[in-house]
Amino acid sequence: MRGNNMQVQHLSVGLVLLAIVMLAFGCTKPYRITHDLEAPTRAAASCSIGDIIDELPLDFEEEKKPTAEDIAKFKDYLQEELSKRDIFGSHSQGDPEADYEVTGSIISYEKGSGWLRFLFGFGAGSARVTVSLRLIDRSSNQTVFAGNFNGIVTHWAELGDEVFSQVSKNFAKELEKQRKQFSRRK
Amino acid sequence: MKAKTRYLFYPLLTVLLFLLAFPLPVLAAANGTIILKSGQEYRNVTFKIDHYYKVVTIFITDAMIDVSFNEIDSIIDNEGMDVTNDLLKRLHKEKKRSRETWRSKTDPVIKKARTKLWNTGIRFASNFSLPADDYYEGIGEGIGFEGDIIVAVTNNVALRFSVSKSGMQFEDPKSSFSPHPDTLVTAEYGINAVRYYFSAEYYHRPDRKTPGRSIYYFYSGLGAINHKLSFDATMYVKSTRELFIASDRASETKFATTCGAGMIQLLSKNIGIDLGVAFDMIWVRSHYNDYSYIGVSGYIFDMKLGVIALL
Repeated sequence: MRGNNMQVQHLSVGLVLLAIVMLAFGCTKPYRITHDLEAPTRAAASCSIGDIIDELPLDFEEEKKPTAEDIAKFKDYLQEELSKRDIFGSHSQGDPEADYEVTGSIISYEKGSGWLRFLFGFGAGSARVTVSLRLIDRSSNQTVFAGNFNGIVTHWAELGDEVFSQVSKNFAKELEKQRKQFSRRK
Repeated sequence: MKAKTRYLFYPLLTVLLFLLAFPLPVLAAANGTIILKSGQEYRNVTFKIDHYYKVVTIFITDAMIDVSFNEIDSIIDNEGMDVTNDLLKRLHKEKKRSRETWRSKTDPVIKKARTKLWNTGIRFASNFSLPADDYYEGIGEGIGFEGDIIVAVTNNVALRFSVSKSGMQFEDPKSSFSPHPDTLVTAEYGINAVRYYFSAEYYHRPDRKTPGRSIYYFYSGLGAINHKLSFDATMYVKSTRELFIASDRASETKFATTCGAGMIQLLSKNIGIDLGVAFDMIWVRSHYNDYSYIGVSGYIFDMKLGVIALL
């Protein structure tokens, strides 16, 4: 009986500690802004999704990198998320005439394994990406908003390319939030 | 372990395992000179490195600047050493890339790299089986053999079909007794267990299929085990010198699940030594009583050593 009580106590302490750690972990934002928006973007302006370049370490194996198809999907997600939030007047890809351009660098990437996520969970087979995304004002050729965005998929029901969707959502969400702060100040 | 130590050991172990699986941002402070790819230099500054977001925070008078790893050209420490690779965990100084260089999945280089290293594996092995739990009471370990056909579905996933004959035997296969001073009975028991499994296997693919490389795998699957039991007895009556012979055979098949792991050490491009362990659970019977669900199981632990051909 005493042994059972001890086990319950161990479990309770463990769960409380785990809850604290998970809370700390959960409070961690999936992105960090390195350049805040200093002036509102022009609402009627056009925005184009530009190059997403490879800045993974040089010895990163070629077959483990995202493919051109993954990057095309990522650009589609970015365009879709920016359009959904009406951040600019028009949204396109690869338009050299656009007023603003979103460019990015992939600095870390793990493709992960859906099968491992299904079989084990607990982080095994997770897909992860860190993308440095920038919004450039073409008129001045200056970065007006930038940050590093993490995407992570740990659940078996999600596909690995969901990491790009998460990054796109967070980028558009934070850009919209910062734009709205200027509107409120007015 | 003392009670107080034990009180904290398991909770702390849980938290440690969680932290290992999901590392929190790790911040390390240092001093030095940071040169950005844009040409800007921050001389003799204090900075913190955040590997979670891949951002370096530079502390300059009354301000903080966040810079992404990819914008940094080099970090020079106070002794003039380039410590970029050590601090940012980059193995090489990155070149400034300005254009997209992603390869299509139909590109021959990618297709070749993602091509399966083998399609079919044929494996023969001996196994040392150790049965356990009530169902196998009185049955001891033994050496058997098995064969598998493993079909690679992708570079990491395979399907495995296995047939295995376990060498486990009765601990006392032969017994003699005298029910009467005039009579001697000799009985012999035998068991022949054959397992059939269909499993899904995950394996770690080496870069190249060359001698010396290792393939690690684990699998789990479903199947059945068939037990063939034999009983042969003779009864000798001394006074009449009569000999009576009796024998019986029984067969029983049970649902079974398996999981295992192992390693293949390649001896040549196509042949390897396979070393593995497995744990099988035999579902013997189950029923509900008035209060709860009762299940009776048997277990078999296996150690395996064999040869595999990867074709």
